[in-house]
Amino acid sequence: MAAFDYVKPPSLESLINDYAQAKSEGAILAGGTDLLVKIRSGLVSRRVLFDINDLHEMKGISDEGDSLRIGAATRICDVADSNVVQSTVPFLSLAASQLGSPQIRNRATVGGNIVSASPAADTVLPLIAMGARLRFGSQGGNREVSIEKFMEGPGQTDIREDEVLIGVVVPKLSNGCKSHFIKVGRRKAVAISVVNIAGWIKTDRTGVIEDVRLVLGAVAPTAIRAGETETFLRGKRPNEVVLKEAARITAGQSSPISDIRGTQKGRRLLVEAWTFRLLQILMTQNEAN
Amino acid sequence: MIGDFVVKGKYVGAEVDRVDAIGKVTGETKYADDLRLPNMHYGKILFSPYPRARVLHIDTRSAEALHGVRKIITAKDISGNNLYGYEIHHHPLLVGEGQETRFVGDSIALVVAETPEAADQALENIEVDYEVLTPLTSPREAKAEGAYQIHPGSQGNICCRPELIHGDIAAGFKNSEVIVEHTYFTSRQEQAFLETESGVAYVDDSGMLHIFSSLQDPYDVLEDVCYALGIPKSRIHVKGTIVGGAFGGKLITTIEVHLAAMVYLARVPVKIVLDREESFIFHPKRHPDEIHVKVGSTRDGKIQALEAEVLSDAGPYSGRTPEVLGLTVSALVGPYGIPSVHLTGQAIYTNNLDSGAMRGFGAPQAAVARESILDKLAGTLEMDPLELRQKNFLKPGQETLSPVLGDSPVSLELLKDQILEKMGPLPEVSPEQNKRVGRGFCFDMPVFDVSAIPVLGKSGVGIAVEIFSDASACVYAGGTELGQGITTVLAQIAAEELGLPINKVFVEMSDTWTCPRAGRTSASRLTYVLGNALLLATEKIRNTLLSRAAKMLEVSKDELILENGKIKAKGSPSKGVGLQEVATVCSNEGLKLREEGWFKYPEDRYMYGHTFMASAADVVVDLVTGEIKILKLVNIHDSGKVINPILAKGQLYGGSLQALGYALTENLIVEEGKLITPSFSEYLIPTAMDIPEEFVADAVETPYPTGPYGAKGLAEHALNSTTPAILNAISNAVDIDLTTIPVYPEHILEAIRAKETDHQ
Ligand SMILES: Cc1cc2nc3c(=O)[nH]c(=O)nc-3n(C[C@H](O)[C@H](O)[C@H](O)COP(=O)(O)OP(=O)(O)OC[C@H]3O[C@@H](n4cnc5c(N)ncnc54)[C@H](O)[C@@H]3O)c2cc1C
Repeated sequence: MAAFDYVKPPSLESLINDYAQAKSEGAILAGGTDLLVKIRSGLVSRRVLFDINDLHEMKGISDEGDSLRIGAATRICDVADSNVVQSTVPFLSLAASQLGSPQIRNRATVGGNIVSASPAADTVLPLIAMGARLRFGSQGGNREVSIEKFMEGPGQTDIREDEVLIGVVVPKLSNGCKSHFIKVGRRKAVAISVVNIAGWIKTDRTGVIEDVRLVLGAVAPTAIRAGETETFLRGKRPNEVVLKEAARITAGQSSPISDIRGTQKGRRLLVEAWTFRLLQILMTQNEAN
Repeated sequence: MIGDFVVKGKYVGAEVDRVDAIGKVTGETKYADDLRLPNMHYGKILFSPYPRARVLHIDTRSAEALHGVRKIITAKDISGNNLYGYEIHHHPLLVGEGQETRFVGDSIALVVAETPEAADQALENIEVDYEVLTPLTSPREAKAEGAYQIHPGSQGNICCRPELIHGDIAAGFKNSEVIVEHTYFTSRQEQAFLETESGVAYVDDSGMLHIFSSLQDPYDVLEDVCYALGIPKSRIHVKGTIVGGAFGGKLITTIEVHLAAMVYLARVPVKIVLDREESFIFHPKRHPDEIHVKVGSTRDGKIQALEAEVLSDAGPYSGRTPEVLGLTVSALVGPYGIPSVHLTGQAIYTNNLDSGAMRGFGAPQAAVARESILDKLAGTLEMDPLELRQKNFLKPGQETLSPVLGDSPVSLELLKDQILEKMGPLPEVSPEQNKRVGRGFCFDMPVFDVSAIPVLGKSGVGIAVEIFSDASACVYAGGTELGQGITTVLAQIAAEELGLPINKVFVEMSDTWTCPRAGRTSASRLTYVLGNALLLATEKIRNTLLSRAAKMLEVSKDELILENGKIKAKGSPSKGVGLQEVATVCSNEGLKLREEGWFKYPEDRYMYGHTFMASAADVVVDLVTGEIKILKLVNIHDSGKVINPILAKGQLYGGSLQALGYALTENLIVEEGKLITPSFSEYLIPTAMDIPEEFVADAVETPYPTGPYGAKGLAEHALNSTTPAILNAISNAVDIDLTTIPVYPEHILEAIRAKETDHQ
């Protein structure tokens, strides 16, 4: 394992300055559950790691009225267990609660999950479905960008060399919306998603779908919105035939690859099957969720 | 007699706590990696990056010049044969210049350095020029005419070709009204032991080489170190450390030859601990097999003929392959009486990962094919799968076809009754839920080694016992504690026989200096063979103690009993003497208080003992998503008398979970000879969360006449029989054929769709 220096900046300001100075030789160390694995296997080597775990500006979940602000260094377990997340963005909590294992959730952070930009990253899906915005800090000032735009490919984002992710702003689900998250793994814990899906739905009093979001993970270079499915479903009164068709359309929007976790064909089948199941669950769920 | 064997001692048959429990839960137990020696250096192995390449040139100069590097070793430094291997010595310790590598686990150079970091750096600085060659990665390709020979002279790259013929197969099929056939594909399975290959070694002042390592048979290590390096066996001391799991993966010599070469040539104590990725490529896996099987039966379900062909990927070296494939072939018959069989196997050398022993030793592959085709046959006959099995159960007194002794009372009917009772009614799901439940069965006849096979120390098994003048005792046994609990079992038996409290009995294992030769720790054999040897040894000690006490108490020896640390006269409880006193007298008088017991099965033939096993699974399958949920898993064994019920259950639970992984999650993917799932984040074994909702383990205890207290062996069992039970449950739930493991939900969806298209 390549050697590196370890630095724990005392404030956000000094982090931003030191990190900018280190240029490409520096890396942010949050939970380390992605970074340290990559360093050990030689995929990443950095001269210096900046530990952000004690920077209070980057931690915690706050209620800002219509939205939540989640610090980048907030642990996945805290997102999973947060009452305010559970009541206002329930599927984010659901996604967080299924990431990895208790040990991983106790270390891993939301910021790390976002910046590592795995197409299978679990919390990214509900964040995209909510139109979450990322807040970055750098010597040049702050920048905000939507998470959907931020993701460019597997491990690729539009983060700039001197930027630090400070937090993410997540709009709350509006009243009457129902949400759900599904993780398809090969076992019940510590399994990277073969396919994951997040969605929310809003129906009017007559049962017609007013609006819907559907986000697919692990079946394209980044997590993607199933836009065609959303368009198809809007204005429809869902029944089994409609949901089946929606599921079929969704599978068509995925462009999975074959890898160690699954084949292209298998993943398409799973997208279709689980989209149908997810929509079914959304239609039958209690409003309270 | 069945089910109510009389021996129920104070310790034998009781739920005795593991004698090694405290050390293991507190972390005080020392594994090989915990051992430290003065001036200990660290050893690392440079593995071949290519499955097949010619080594043109190795330049170690810049690595040698690094700070902290003590020694770099290549093939030219080795003065012995530079080869090792079980039975056939064709595994090079180091592949030298001009030679070809045969897989990615071949070693090119060894590094000895002051720190692990320096050793890593040295590895990176060894420059090797390779001529990369095209590997043979499929057995079909490798056995084709004109394929290059991985071992020169191995025609068609054939490693072995076992065959089992019985009766007239043509007549058998002629007598059959229904014939079904199918091909099954089983996957490579990784043992996934917690402790990777590790050991420390040093040479003492007298020139004795001491090796302490994580192994399954210290004597195999003697054999290999002697052959590869030319060190006399009498100058090698091997001690197996407490092992953190092995499951067959340490059944051939692992890092010990490397370690010995390092210690000898670098002249410092050395430790090797493989990291997980190294371990994954280094040790042999369960053979991936392609099994074509054809079975013929009468309309009313009497099987007349069984024909099968197994094509097995041997990997680059022979190792345990001939034995494993031999067992696969014979296990295709299972616990059934079949009048005619023709079973053949071919194991083919390839440049893939090596194949070898893994819990079940070839029988799990056979069970998948056998029990799947039986369900298929039942489907064709429109007969209940359990009824079909029952009709063909081996009958008491019926000849067994596989190389098993056939001297075990047949208890299949009893197992069947028990398992039905434990399973209860099939759970129901409401039809609108789009879910289906299914139940699957498997019956099996797991074998255990009785030490009848007259090769390589497998026949005679020794043990030594000593009682000391303070009335404590020590057992010295050549087998190895792998986590299975053999130290506890031996302590139970010794305490029972010597009338000692169990905390006065100590068990030392796996040491070529102190323990008589006992052969390997595998094939579910130790309770039977060491148990028998121990009874012979304790009998001699009892004799000495009782004879001496008889003189002291002035009663006849036959009237004395040994109990609770005392020798007492049966009739008159007042007449007694403490064991400590007797032992002290014996010791002072120079009477022999250390005895050996040697057990050997009365016959020399290639035969195993056998046990019986039944597994059943209830699953629910989601028709929309293909999701599989195991509701209930029941495993019942008959391995004769159970010496320790907790340990026995542990064997069933553990084996069953490994089988669950084999059926549903574990997938070791090798592409072009390279492993692309090199760690536990890609190779998924079941976690605690994956344990079935209801998980039952139990026993039927039919005493075995030649076993200690009627015991046989129990270890591999549930790994053979759980996988087919799960597969059959799934395929019965949704009425599809499953031919390949692991089974993923999308395979189920595909099969359901294919069936729907067929129907349209
Ligand atoms: C055993 C195991 C199981 C896992 N299971 C899952 C799973 O089920 N689902 C899943 O989605 N992931 C899983 N992961 C991946 C990983 O745990 C998550 O992606 C996690 O959220 C990463 O967070 P972290 O804080 O540990 O990131 P780190 O490893 O600390 O950082 C990851 C990357 O992001 C950068 N970074 C982190 N924070 C910031 C910041 N504030 N600003 C700028 N850059 C930053 C780092 O420099 C690094 O490049 C698993 C990992 C392991 C080891």
